[in-house]
Amino acid sequence: MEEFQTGEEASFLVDEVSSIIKEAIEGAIGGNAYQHSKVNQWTTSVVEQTLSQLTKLGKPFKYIVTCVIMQKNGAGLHTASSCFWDNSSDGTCTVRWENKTMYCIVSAFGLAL
Amino acid sequence: MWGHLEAVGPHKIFMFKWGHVGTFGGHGATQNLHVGTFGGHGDTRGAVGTREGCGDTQRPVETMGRPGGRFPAAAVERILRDAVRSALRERRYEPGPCREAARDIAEAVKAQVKALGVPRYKIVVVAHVGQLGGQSLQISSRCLWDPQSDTFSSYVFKNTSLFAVANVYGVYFE
Repeated sequence: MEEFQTGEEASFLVDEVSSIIKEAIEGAIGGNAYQHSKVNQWTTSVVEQTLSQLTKLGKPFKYIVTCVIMQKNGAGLHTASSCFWDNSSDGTCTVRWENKTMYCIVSAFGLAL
Repeated sequence: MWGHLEAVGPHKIFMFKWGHVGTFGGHGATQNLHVGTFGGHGDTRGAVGTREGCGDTQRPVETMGRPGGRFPAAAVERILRDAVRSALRERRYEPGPCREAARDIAEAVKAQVKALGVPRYKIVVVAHVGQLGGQSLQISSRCLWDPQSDTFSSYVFKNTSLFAVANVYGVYFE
């Protein structure tokens, strides 16, 4: 069975994951302006959509998806990550998205089984 | 407590539903940060990242047949707390130093958790440091993993001008 999962098919492809995340953000937030009452729904929807699309790729990975939504008012935010894993198989992808009223930053980490 | 059951490849994996949410400032009533809403049953806990006893108590933790020990959540929590506090306790928000601080926290926590020498666990550390400026902010995450072996710790810090949220995810390498 191993030979079917060599190369591209079984690896974490940043471009592929990046487009999944972008679609999830667009689908959840789209053209909306910041609304405090909606944020919970948006973050939930973004992580769930991202995770379910990643699952559909059918790759032998465990995934961690994080989403930050911050209202824009000039306040700063810094995010850093550090991983101890297998560089040859595992990977991460971060998408920064913003409109006039908010930032949405989503990261996905894929860890091979 | 557990969400859907998913099968990925040959491994059966539980979709572990948890969100952890920090709401900072803004909109009057939401000044309190409520962190740690686990599961879909309104099971809200004030404590951050307390994993012990957080799972389904009916479900025995099976470590048999799985080489390597459990992820030492309590020790990891101490590491997180000490790293965040020592980096930020006396600090006022400034963009440059806070960017450095986020990086330093992530690096330091990873190095120290790695030094615990837990076999077969991969470690992901995510640190956020931000300015308290009356804005609203929500951080959430969700994982597709095996809740029998995989876990996380989280720590939230706040002083007068800045906040920080640091998470460590421990993921068992099958």
